[in-house]
This record gives sequence, C-alpha cells and structure tokens, in this order.
Amino acid sequence: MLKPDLRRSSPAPRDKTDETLLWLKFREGPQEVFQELVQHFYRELYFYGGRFTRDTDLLKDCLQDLFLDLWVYRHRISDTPYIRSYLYKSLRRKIHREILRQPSAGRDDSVTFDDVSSQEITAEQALIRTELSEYQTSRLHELLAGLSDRQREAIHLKFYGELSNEEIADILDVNKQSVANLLHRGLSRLRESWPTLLSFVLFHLSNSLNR
Amino acid sequence: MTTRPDYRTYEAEDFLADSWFLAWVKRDRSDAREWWRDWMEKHPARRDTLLLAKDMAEALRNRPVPLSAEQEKQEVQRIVALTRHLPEEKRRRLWWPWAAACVVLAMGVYLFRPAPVQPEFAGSVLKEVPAGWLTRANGTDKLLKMRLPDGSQVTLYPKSTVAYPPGFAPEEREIELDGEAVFSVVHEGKRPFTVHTRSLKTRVLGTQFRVVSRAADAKQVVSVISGKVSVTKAGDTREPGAVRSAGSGLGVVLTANQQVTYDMARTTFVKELVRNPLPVRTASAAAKETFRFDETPAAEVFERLKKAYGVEIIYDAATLRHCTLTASLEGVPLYDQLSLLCASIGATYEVIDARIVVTGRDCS
Repeated sequence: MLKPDLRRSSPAPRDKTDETLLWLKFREGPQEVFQELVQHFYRELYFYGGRFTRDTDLLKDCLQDLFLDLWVYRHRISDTPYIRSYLYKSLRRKIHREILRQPSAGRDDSVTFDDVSSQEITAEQALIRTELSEYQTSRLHELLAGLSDRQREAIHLKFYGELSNEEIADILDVNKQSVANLLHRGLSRLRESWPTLLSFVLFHLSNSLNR
Repeated sequence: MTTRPDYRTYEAEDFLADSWFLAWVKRDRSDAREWWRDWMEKHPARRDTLLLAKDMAEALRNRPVPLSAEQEKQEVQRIVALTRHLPEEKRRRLWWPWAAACVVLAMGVYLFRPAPVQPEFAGSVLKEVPAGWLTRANGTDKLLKMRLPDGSQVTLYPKSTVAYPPGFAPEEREIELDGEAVFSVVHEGKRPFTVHTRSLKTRVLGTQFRVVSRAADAKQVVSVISGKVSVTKAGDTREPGAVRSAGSGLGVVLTANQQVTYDMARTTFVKELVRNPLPVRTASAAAKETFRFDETPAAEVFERLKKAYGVEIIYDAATLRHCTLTASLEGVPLYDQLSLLCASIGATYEVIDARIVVTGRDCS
C-alpha cells in the first residue's frame, strides 16, 4: 500500500523542527507520542479532507483509518523523512476512494476540491465570531470559487499544508512546473481581485461604525 | 546564515508561496517577524506588496474549520484508544460496534470508602509527588472526568486528588490517589497499572478499575467489579502472585464483586463480597445473562449466577437435584435474586468469607 516513492520525498529545508522531532520520537514507538502526533495533525487534515466532502462521518472514518495505518505501519514507514506530505497524500487517496465508491458519486470519475457553495458557508457560520470575518470569509469563498479545482487544491497544500512544490506535484500527480504554474496563476487571480475585497471590507467597516 | 531569495522582485502571490513569509504570517515566529520588519524598512517601495500578501494570508488563515475543539478531542482520543486493540497487522475498516466491544472487554475494580466523615477539603494531601507530575484535585461537588496519558479514563470524586506523570514510563503506569476515583484502564498486556494510596498499592494488569483512599479514614476498601487485581500494603515489593489469601496480612488478590477492607491500625485485610454485586460485563451480547429461568434446574440457575457475577456459590447439587426454578429476574440485585430463588425452593443462603453458601433441602 505504501509506495516506495514516498521514500524519496524532497528534503527541502523546513523550519518545522518540532514536527520532525515528534516524528522521530514516534518512530521509536511510544504510544504517548502517537497521541501528540494525531493531535498535531488532526485539525489541519480535517480541514483539508473537508474540501473534498461534506460527509463528516466519511471524513472522520478516513482520518481514523489514516492514523491507525500510521500506527500499524510505523515500522515500515519509518523511512519517510517527512510525515506531513505522506499524511496529506494518503488522506487524499482514502477520501477519493471512498467518494468514488459511493453510488451517488460523480458520473465523470472526478472529485471536486473546495466546493465553496452557500451551503458550506451557512454550515460554517456558527463558528465565525465577528461580522467582519464572516463577511471576509464569504467574499474569500467567492474569490476562491473563481479558481479551478486544481488551483484551489495547490494553494491549499501550499498555504495550509506548507508543502514543497515537489511534494504537491507528487500529491496532484503532475510535474513540478505545473505546480508552480497552478500556484502562480491561482494566487495572481486572487491578488487581482483582492483590492475589491479590501475596499468592500473597509466600506462595510465604516458603515457599521456609522451605525 | 540562511540565504534568502531577493524578495524585491516578489509579487503578493510569490510571497504567499514562500515558507519564510508563512513563518511570519501564519506561525508568527519572532525571528521571522523581526526579519520582515527589517526588510520592510529597507525596501519601503515593496511594503504595500508585502502587506497585501499579509492581508491575503490572514484572510486565508481565518477560514473557519467546522470542527469544535470538543469534537476534535473526542476523535483524537478515539483514535488513540483504538490503537491499544490493534494488532500490528492490517485490519479492514473499523466499525463502531467493533470499537464498542473493545471497551466492554475492559475490566473494573472499585474501591469504596466506608466512613464518609471528612475534614475540610484542603487540596492535595498526596505525599511526595515526583517532580514533574501533574496533580489534579476535585474541589467541586461533582464527578470530574479526565484522561490519563495512556487514554485511560479517571472519574475523580469530590474532594479527591490524583497525580500522574505527563507520560507514563514504558514499563509501568503508576498514579497516586487520595480520595475516591474510578479508573477505566485501557488494556495493555505488558504494562501494569498501579494506583498508590497512602497505605495500599492496587495493581491491575490490563484492566479498568477504581480506587478510593482518604488520608482521614482509618479503613480503606478496595472492591472489584470484574477482572483481577492485587492489593498490597504500600512499600510491599512482592509480586502479586506471592499474595494469596485474606487475612494473611500480606495482601489479597481480588476478583469480580469482591472487596477488601484494610484496617490501617491493625494492618489487617478482610475480604468479602461487595454490598451489591453487579453482573460482569461480557464481550458479546450473546453471552449476556438474561436472568430468565423457566423450569430450570436449581444447579443450572446457580451455575449461571456464578458465571454472570463471577462469584463463588456453594451448594449441594445432590440435595437440590429435584429443584427447578421459574423466574424472570433481570435488573434485580444479586442478593434479592438469591432471596427469591431460595424462598421458592425452601432454601436459605449466607455470605461467608466472600462466598455465597446455599443451604437447601430436597424438593421431591
């Protein structure tokens, strides 16, 4: 199940020393470290996985599977230098497999990334604290909706996952140059629309101040 | 000295894909923060570009994750608890009922305190808690549930204190207790779980248990719901196997529904049955006792009770061979079940030295 190609993950310099230490400790086995490791990655991976599906049960099952695999195979995957890209890649594969297995799955064999529709925003609203960030979030989702699936995912892996372009290329199964292009075009597009977002925010802010 | 790229040529999108930039805007690392502040001062013309990138980064970072802290905690703990039951092999998908069965397989030990006369609760009265251990005291009047580093659960009673290391040692799980608590111990075959109290050491090999001991009490009681524990005096280093019978003064081995009272003045152990024995939990629903008897021979009834409660019942099978019982006694406490059953066959029972002895007569 674990492909040998994981072993030659790029050793790009990374300042996540703590994470690497954690991983080194975990390879030696103690169960307490496993808990720390799960704790460290759970929220972040839940967020990533949530871009593919709104079925939270499916998502939790996949995450559980992912971490239990990590536990069961810890001796075998101990050659993986960077646990981070391994987790992202494995989770993505598990979720894709589960989604495509469902009878209602997409006819065209594809899985959408970050389907930023109004429904999702509503579901998230409960968790949003202030009016301003709520507004910002919904605007941001509008902007993200203007990007392609792959652009959104590349940006996610870069920004939230902080993976190297090589690692992203491996996950998306494209070459490194394509990743650079996806990132550059996606982020440029966001940036171009950004002043609008900003001015809306400022307008909104001054409006609420005047109230 | 790390060499940084020439950021003067960077647009906002380039910054957003740069790990040194993210170290500042995402993780707010102090070295990165200072470095970027310097950079802005040196390159005022690029300041707006950088701040735009920072603004975008903040908006991205603020996207809410629809997962509450409580849910997150639950999921993490569930995953960690499940690893205890995993072989080092590939298993297929895990289902909820399967997970539930693991929990049921755990065992229980309870310690009860006889005299609830308490002085004012003054926080921790634990002696010599090792340096670096965590101490938690329950000063409320409610039960306090908490997790130990191995995933085991503790229900701490009011006016009770526990102390434990932030991570258990590889060979032993040890905790200190003053007061009363229930321990749901995650099974780990090789790593015993020991609760130290002022005068007793209760050790459980891979089970679930509860311990009570208060500094103010002259007597301490340990009782077991299911499973097996050894109770020895604090400081006694003998293996549990060396500890055998009640009243020996060395300590006792307790099984389901047994309890021991330790008199601290006389340093004696008295073993008996708990006041209200409960059926031992079983792994499968099929093995669960129904307590429904229909013209069932008395010997079979007592055998089933023995199994259900894990207690010893002594009776003369020859005398009772013609006796049958018909009753539905689910949810009825053991001693009431025995009273009803004995009354219907003209027998009596008494509890002697942690055993139930039934005295009956021929029913023919």
